[in-house]
Amino acid sequence: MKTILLLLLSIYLLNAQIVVVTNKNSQLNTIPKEIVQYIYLAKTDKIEKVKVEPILSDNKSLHDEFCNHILSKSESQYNSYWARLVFTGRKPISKRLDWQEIVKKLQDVNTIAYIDKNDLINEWKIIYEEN
Amino acid sequence: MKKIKKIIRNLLFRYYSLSILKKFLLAPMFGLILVLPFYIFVFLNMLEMKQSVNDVNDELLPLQEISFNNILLLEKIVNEMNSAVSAKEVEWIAASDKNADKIRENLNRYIQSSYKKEIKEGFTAFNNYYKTAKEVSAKIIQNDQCYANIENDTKILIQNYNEIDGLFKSLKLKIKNDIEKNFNSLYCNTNFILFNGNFIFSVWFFISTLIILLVYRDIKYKIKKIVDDSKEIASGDVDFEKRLCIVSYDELGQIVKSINIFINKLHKNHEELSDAKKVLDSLYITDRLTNVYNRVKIDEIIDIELKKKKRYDHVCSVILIDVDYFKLVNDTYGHLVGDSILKEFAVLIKESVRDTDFVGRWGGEEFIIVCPQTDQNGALSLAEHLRSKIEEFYFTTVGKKTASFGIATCTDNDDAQSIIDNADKALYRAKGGGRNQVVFYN
Repeated sequence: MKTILLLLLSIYLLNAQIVVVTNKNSQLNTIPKEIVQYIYLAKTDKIEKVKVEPILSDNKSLHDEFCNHILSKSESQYNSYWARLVFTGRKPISKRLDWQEIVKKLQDVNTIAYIDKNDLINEWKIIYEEN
Repeated sequence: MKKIKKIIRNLLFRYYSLSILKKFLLAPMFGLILVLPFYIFVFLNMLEMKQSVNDVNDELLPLQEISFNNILLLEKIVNEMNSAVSAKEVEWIAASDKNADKIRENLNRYIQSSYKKEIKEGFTAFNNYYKTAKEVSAKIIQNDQCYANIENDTKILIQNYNEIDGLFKSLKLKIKNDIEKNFNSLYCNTNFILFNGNFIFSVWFFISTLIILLVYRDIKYKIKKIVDDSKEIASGDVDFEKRLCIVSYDELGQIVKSINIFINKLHKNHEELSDAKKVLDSLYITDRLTNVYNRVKIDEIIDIELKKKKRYDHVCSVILIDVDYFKLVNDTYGHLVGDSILKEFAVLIKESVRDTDFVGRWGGEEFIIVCPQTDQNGALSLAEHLRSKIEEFYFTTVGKKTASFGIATCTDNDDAQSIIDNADKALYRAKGGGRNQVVFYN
């Protein structure tokens, strides 16, 4: 029974809706999924010619969810991908931030972060939401 | 200016002293002077080229190989680290140690080469990188790509990687450039040698041709001069005063000298022969005891005078003189005294006759005088004059002596024999008439 509950919980959690947000004052509006992928896989660092900084969350389940659903990569694939970037001398791996740090970072206009839709606060706006 | 003139004169003199072969050899010799420094230059250049080829072979090519190798090895290390991280296997990290060792070994092998600085830099950077890479890889694996300092660590790693990558690539590029430079310099040198070689060959060819032409003209001119001179000498009368002009001191000069020496000898011989001929001639027509003409000459003179008589009607007379009682002198005083009397007699006659008269000894104690263009009276008076002179003369040892004279004058019908006969007859009559007198007979 417990395992079923845990499974259900995990399903619920897995199903937690992830959104990509930015500061309310940002000129960014909605962006397509490909752009989010490009940003988080370091294929580009600009949206509409504006340099943006992607922020990673240290919430492991959220991060895995983000990888699975939005980047379409398993966590190990994601890790390998970034290791490759590091070892071929292209991009350092970003630090994963906790909630406070994310809030703080998002005060900056040109930063984007992925969060659970439930955690959305007023200063932010959603620029990508998965249907 | 004076000095230059002197030098030129000196050089010309030297040139004239050279043999013909050497003169012609001047051309290649000049070429040699021109070509020799070039050959030395080429030789030095070849040494340099050899050195640069050796450099390429001994250092640059293996260096290039190891620099390629190093880049490959670095890639391998990167791949191994990457796969270790991807697979989350800390043990795999150590797998790249052997490749790292290979890189170090490669670098160490050429640490003393001319790329010392770059290799040392690469060595430090690689060690730095490898250490960081190992540490960071281990950390990433252990912390599952999620720890506080990851951003900084990976940044440093990336920096290190880029540094070592850049160093290796720049080393490779540099070596490649150096090899290119070496080959380019080889190409340039070869080109330079070829170009200058052609140029020098052309100059050499030109100078050689010029010198040979000049020498040829010079020799031609000299030979022409010798030929002209010898023609001049050969033409006309024999003239031993002429000599060939010495044109140079080579073989031609030698020939001219020899010819001149030969002419000198001929000249001397000729003079000697002429003198000898004169002596012989005088001996042939002179009586040796009395130094007046002998019968040979007198016969000749009479012949000539008879011809003149026929041609120009020039009358001539012949006077025969005989010393009276000469046999007595010989018998009394001996032949030596007789000879001296004859000598004195001849001198006396010679002094007393006119310059145009010919005095000869007819044999024994008889003398003959041929008087050209003298008629009977002239001959008579000359004979009378002589007779009185002799009568007055005091001969050594024997004292006073007299002589008898027979005169004949030539007529149109006379020949040499008849005129002598006539004179002889006259003399005979003079002797018969008591000696010391002049008789004419025709």
